[in-house]
Amino acid sequence: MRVRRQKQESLLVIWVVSALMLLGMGVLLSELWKLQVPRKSGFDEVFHNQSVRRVRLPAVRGKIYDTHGKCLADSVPNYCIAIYTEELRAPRSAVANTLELLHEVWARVGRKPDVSFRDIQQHLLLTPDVPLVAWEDLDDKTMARWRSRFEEWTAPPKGSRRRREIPGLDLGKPVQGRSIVLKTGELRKRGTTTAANTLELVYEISERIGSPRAVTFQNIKDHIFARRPLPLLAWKNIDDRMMARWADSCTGLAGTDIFCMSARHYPEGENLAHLIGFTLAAEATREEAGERVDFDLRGIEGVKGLEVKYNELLEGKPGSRLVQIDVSGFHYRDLQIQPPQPGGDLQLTIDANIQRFAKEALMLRQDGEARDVPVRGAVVVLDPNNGDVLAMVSAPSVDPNAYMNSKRYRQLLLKDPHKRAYHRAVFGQYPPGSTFKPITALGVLKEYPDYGKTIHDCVNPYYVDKRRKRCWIHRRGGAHGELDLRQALMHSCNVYMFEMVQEVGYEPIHDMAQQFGLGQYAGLFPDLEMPEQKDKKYGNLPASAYNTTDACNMVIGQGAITASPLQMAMVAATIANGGTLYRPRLIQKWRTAPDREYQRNPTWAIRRIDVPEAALELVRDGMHDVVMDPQGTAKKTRVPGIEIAGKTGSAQYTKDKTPAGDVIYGTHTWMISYAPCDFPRYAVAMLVEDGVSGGNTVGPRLSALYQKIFEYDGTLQKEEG
Amino acid sequence: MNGITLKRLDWAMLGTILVLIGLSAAFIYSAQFKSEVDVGSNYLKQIGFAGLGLCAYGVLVWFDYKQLAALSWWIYGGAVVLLLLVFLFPEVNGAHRWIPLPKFTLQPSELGKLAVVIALSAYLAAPGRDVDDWKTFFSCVAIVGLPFLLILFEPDLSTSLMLAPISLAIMLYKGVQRKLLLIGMVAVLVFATVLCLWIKYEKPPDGETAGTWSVLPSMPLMEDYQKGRIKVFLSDDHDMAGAGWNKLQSQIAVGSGGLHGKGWLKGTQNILGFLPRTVAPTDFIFCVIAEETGFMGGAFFIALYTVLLGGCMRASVRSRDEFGRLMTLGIGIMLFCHVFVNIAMTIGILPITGLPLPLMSYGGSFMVSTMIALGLVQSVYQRRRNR
Repeated sequence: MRVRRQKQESLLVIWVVSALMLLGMGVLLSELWKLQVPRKSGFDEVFHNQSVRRVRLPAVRGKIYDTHGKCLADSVPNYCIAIYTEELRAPRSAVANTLELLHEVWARVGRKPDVSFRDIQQHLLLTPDVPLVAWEDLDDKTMARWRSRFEEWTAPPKGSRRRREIPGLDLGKPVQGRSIVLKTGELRKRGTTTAANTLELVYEISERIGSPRAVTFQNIKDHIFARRPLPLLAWKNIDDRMMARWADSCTGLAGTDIFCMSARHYPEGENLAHLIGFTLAAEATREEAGERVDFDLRGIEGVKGLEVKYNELLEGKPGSRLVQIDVSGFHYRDLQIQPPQPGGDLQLTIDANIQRFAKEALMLRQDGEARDVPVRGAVVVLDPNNGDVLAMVSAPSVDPNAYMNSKRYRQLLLKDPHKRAYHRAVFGQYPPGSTFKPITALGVLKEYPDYGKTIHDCVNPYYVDKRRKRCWIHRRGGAHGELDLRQALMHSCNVYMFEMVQEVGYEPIHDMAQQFGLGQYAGLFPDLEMPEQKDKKYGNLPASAYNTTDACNMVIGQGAITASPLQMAMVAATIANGGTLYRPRLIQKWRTAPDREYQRNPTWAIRRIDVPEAALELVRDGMHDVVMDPQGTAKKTRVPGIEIAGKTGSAQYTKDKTPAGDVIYGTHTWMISYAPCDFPRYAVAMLVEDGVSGGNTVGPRLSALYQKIFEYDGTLQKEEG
Repeated sequence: MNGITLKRLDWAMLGTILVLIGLSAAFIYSAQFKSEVDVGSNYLKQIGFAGLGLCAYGVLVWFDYKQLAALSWWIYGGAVVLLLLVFLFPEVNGAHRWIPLPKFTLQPSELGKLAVVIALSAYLAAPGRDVDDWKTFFSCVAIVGLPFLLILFEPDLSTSLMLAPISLAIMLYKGVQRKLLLIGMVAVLVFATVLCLWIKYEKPPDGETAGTWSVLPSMPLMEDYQKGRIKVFLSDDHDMAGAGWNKLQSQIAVGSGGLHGKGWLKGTQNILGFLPRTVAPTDFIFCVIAEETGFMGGAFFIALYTVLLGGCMRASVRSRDEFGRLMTLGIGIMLFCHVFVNIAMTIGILPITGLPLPLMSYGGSFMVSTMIALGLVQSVYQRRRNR
């Protein structure tokens, strides 16, 4: 009886178990359904996000050409030795482990190890089980530091009492005698990290190409931590010799290749540095709307001049590569590559030859100039008939190629006492001195057309409101005597101007200067001229004079009036072309991509100067005499065979103060000029800081410039021999 | 009586086994597939193991299982010796679980489970065993307890815990101290609940932010990784990058499979290696299957396992003697536990453990021991009572 009862019950157990199993399988099925069908889309998104990364690919930067199509800013390849860390994942060697440990210890000892890479290789090859003495004869200070850093290093992790073992080092004896010893036998059995493998490869390449390592172990670790799918650029900007050595000896190595980046080169070097500017490696990724960039293969971006002003046009549209990565963060495969679109080009109105002549002319030393400081000054050459900028030089200049390649050069530049990086031609603010006198004359002539015949007597001494005012000739003990306006311009007589302004007042002169664009934005390129002072006026033109003395100062271009060389060149061009003020045009044409058509940048007249023809004629005659008359102040500017008009200027400014409080004056020397007189093709403003006088400092330089320009354009026959 | 005929074979079960073995090779291939040139050779090894298993299966079908009852102590003793031998070999990943042999490593705990089933069945099925005697109960506890402790100290908690439901069912069937066992079961359930709650609300180790309710003192006697797994199980967002990573990735893989799956060799989650490559072909093989074949494939696999388990239970019900019944019941429960726990952890409803999926997961010892177990089931069914 009992047995039967038990049997029936036990079958019940089996049935219950079977039912439970069925229930279990049912639960699995329903959970699987819940996970896979209703929640699928959510997981799809998670899945996509976690495995795809976007790598930004910089485009090839557009070029900048001069008016004849000569390249001024070129994109050249920058060859780098790249290491693809993802190919180094597999365990490789004891050498890698030893190097890794060596670097870890090095970072803590602070002294270069006493073994070389070859020593380590040899040691591991011949006697791997014998400990390797990596540092010998440590001094007490180094040993103490190493001991304490080692203590920190091996401190027990949280929640544990046992100190951390460092494979290859003895926990108890970090220093043996005065040496640090690595137990290489222990390292031999261990797997290697990617960082260690990379380090070994860097050493190996360094050995083979005979060039010191350019990345630190920390760089390598950082790269593997943050930018794994990208190649590690171990050597950048390698030259042909290094490239040849690499090709000779390293092509058999796995995981390394030549990687080509785009770099900038400026064939004209210093000549155009201020205008074109330069580029540097782009800083952190700029946000691009709607697209998440995970890895930025850094390109270059403009930091000065045209490069930054037209950065968007020049840099093109960066492409991107969608990279699927694996669980260790390495590149797995490319899903999609969107090639970058190359940047657009600029063609300037600058003529590289004239630019070079201008530079050379400016650098010509004259007698009586301090030799220990570089020539500081600026030249602007305009085409007076349309406002095209033919040359624009600022000195001293910067070597853009050195600037881009050398951090040291950049740091030196910051401390430069001569402000090399300062674009004097556009941003410089100088009192125009006597070069302002043509404007004064035109202002008066507009109101009083017959003033040209008025005669004033230049006497020495001369007083205005009981204060002595000087003409430049007074310093030499002379006086100009009786002059009319044309002669006053030729001799650059101050007294004539003082008399004149006392008769007619400052008002008409201010109005004329304003018409010439002084104190206003010149429009070379929008927003670039005074980047740091947006609302400040461009140069300075006071609306009224405090008193007669102040007015007298200003009509000879002293006092509060300031202007840039570019603005004075515009004044010269306007007088030359008969009264049309053109906006200076720098960009002749541009295109948004190399395969697109060029688009022209139109010339544009700002205004016509409202002045009688006869008045202009008189001033032009005066300026003609300045150069061409035997008594003119700019006799030294003359070029045989060419009629040149000009006006010199020497503007005193407060340079410094002696400890006693006396003011030391400096003189900015100027000339504005145009040539040839009857049909002007060139208008020039030239400034040299701390010169002697306009005629002596600038005159000969200007002459040299005209000589070369007219030989270049064929007006003058080049002398044979 | 002794008619070993092809007609009496459980063809449905054998067919299921063969299908599962074939699919196993296919999905191990897929789990290790990275590209055309880089395919692991593990699928070939798995086919080899399956072949070895099939030989054992065939032998056992012809072999009269009743003789095992007589040999059960030898089998049991052998298993215990193997479990002891494990400790003589160096640690691998911090555990003594394997005996390295030339060509492959033996995992004695897999055979140990089977030995316990055989020994316990033989002991309880012996004629004249008085099940109400306390001596019987303690003997049963001793038979299960020794391998349990040995496996526990390897350490391999999940495999050792697997012995509990097996022996529980066998003892319940025989009626050994049934009341005590039922009360014990309830007590264990209560204890497990308390344990989970405690871990959920215990103070986290230094450096981690504490939740508002994390006030209990730290649970003694448990390793941090075990607590971590339970925490992952209890909450959806615990330590995503660390302990929660596998659960999350496994769920993403399964979830992104959808209804139809991504296709064989197209399981990107797996190929990209988000499922760690070491576990994809072993403990997480179902994840690969679910990602590549979707719900349809996953349901098909669950159905195959249901057929397999049904076969075991049928053999148990129709066994001609007590020994066969107990043994097939134990084997059935063992397989069920493996299947259920493995799939459940893959889809995130149980904590992550190291239990493989029978016949699918890569692994020689487990493949062979599973085939031996199924061979025994077939052997019992072969000699079933005629109706």
